[in-house]
Amino acid sequence: MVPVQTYKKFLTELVRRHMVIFGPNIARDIAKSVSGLTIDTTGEVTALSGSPIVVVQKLISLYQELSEPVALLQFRLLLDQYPDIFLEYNQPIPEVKLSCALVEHKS
Amino acid sequence: MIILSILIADFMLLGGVSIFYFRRRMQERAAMAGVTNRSQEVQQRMYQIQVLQEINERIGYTLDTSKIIEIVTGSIGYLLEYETVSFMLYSDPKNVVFKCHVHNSVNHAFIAQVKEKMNAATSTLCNQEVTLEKIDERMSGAILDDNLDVQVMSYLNVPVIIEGQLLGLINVSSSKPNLFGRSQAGVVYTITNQAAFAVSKLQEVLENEKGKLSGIIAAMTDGVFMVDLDYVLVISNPAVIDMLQLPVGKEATTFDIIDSLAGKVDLRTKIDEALAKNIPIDVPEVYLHDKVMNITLTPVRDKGGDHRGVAVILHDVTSEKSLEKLRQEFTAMMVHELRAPLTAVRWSSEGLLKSLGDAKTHLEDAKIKDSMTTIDLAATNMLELVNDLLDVAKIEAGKFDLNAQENDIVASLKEAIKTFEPQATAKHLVLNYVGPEKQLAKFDRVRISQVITNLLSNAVKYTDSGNVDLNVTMQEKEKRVVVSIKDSGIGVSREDLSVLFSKFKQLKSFDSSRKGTGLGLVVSKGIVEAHGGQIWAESAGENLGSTFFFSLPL
Repeated sequence: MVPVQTYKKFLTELVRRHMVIFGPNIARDIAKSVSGLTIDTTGEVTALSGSPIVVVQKLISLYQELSEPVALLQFRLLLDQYPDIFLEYNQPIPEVKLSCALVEHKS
Repeated sequence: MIILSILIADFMLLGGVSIFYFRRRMQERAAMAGVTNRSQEVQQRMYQIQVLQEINERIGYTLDTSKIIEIVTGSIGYLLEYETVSFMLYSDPKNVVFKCHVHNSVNHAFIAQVKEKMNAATSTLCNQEVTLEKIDERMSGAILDDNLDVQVMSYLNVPVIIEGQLLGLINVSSSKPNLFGRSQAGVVYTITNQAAFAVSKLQEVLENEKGKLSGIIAAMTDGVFMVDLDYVLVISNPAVIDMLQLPVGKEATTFDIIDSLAGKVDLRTKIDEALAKNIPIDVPEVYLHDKVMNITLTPVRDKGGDHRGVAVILHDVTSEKSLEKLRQEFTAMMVHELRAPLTAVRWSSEGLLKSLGDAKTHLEDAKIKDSMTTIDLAATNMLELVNDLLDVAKIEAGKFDLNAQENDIVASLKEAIKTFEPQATAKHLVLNYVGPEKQLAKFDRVRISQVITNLLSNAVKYTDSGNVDLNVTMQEKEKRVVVSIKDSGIGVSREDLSVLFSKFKQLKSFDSSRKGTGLGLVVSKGIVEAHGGQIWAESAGENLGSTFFFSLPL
C-alpha cells in the first residue's frame, strides 16, 4: 500500500501542474471542492482523508471538465513518476494524444 | 405593577414584531441571494449561448484557429473583469503569434508577466521547456503606461486543443487578486471546448472530402501534383514518382521534381510564368526516360481570386506518339503497295499503246498477253489491298455483316488446299490435312474461307521446305471447333507474336522481300471474332515454324 505521504506529494504536484496550466485560482478551487482533500494557497496538500484513489479519481474527473486531454496527459505523465500509485490505481486510463508542434513532442 | 406588566407586554410585542421582521428580512436576504446566484447562472448561460451563436455565425466553415480564438477572447469581456486578454498561436512553430488586447492600461512588465505565465503553461503542457525564439507580437486597446504600478495578480489560461494538437493558448490577466475562480471562469473553458469540438467535426468532414479527392488523384494515370507559392509540394500522386522515376518510399519535394526534369524543361520558370500570366502553360513533348510527356501547368486560385499555387499535370503521350508514328509508316507502306502495281499497270499499258500506235511495229500475241497479264495481276493486287482496307474499316466501324449458316469446315479447308496446291508443289511443299472427314459448324462460308486462305497463303509464303499441316479438332468441353495450320517455315519471334494481329504493325523479323501489308491477319481476326471465336498463333521462335489457330463456337 502506498503511503499517504506519497499520495500527498503526488496530489500536490498534480494540483500545481494544473495551477500553472489553467491558472492558480481555478485549479485551486477545483481541488478544494474535492472532499477529503485540503490544500493551501500554494497548492500543497495539507490534509488527505478517505480513500486516496477516490480523491485522485475525483480530482482528475473535475480537471477533465476543463480540458480532457490536458488533465489526462498530466495524470499519465505524473503516474510515470509514481509507479507505486500507478500500480495501486490499477484502472484503465484513456489514451490521450497531444502533439505540440513547438517542441515536436508527441505523447 | 400594571405599568411593569404593560412594559413587559410592550417588550414582548416589540420582541415578537422584531423577530417577525428579522426573520422576514433574513428570508428576503436569502431570496435575494438566490436571485443573485440565479441571475449569475442565467447571465453565464446567456453568455455561453451568445458566444456559441457568434462562433457559429462568424466561423461559418472556416478552420482558421486565429479567428476562432479571437471570437472567444472578444467575448470574454461580457463576463470577466480583466486588464488584458491575450492569445498565442502555435500553428506555425516558426512564427508564434502573440496577440494582446489591453482593456485597462498596464505597464510593459505586466505584459512580460503575461507572456511568462503563458510560456510556463505551454512548457508544462508539452512536458518540455519551450523557448519561443520568434514572436510576432500584436498589441491593441489601451496604451501601455510604465508609470503604473501593476502586476499580474490573477490569471487564467485556456489551452486550445483541436484534434489532439495544441494550437494555441488564451490568457486572461488582472491586477486584482483572487479572480477567475471556478464559478467565474468555468464557462470560458466550456465555450472553448465546444468551439474546438465544432472545429474538429468540421475538420473531420473536410478530411473525409480530402480523402476522397486524394483517392481520385492517386488513382489517376496522369502524374498530378501541386506546388504552393513557396514551391512547397502540396499534393502529388504515385504516377509522378513513376513517370519521373523518383525514389520510391521517400517523400518527394518540388526540387526533386525540378531536378528530375533538368535539361528537359525549366519547371520553376514555367511555374512562375503560369502565375505571372495567369493562364495554363503547355509544354509539349518532353522526352524523359523513354517516355514522351505533355506537361500542363495551371494556376490555382481561391474563391477570392488570389493565387494559391500551380497544379501540374504530366500526361504520358508515348503510346499516342508511337501510334502516330505507326500510322505514318502504314500510310507510307500503303502508298508504296499501291504505287508498285499502278506503275506496272502504267508501264504495261504505255508499252501496249506505244506498240499499237507504231504502225511499223508488229506486236506479237505473246507480248500482248504478257502485258495484259501484268495489268490483270497488278489490278488484282490493288483490288485485294483495297478490299482488305475496306474490311478493316468495316470491322473497326462494327459494320461487318455475316451470313452464318451451318457449313462443313473440313470442306472449306480442302477447297483451300486445292487452291494452294500448285503453289505448294512449286515450292516442293506438302500440304496435309489430318482430321475428321466432316465437321459442321455455323459460319459464313465466304468469310471463313477468306480466313483459311489468308492463313494458308502465309504458311506457303513463309515456308521454303517441309510440310504445312492442317487440322480440325472438336473441343466438346469448350463447345468449339478449332482449326490449326502448322508450317515448318520462318516462325515468329516472341516479340512479334504479341503484335501479330495488330493494325499498322509490320513484323520486324520478316524479310522485306516477303513483307506484306499485314492487313490479312487483322481482317482474319475481325472475321473470327465476329463469329464469336478466337484467333491466335504459337511459335517456338524464328526458323522453328509456327502454328495458327482459330476457333468457331458450336
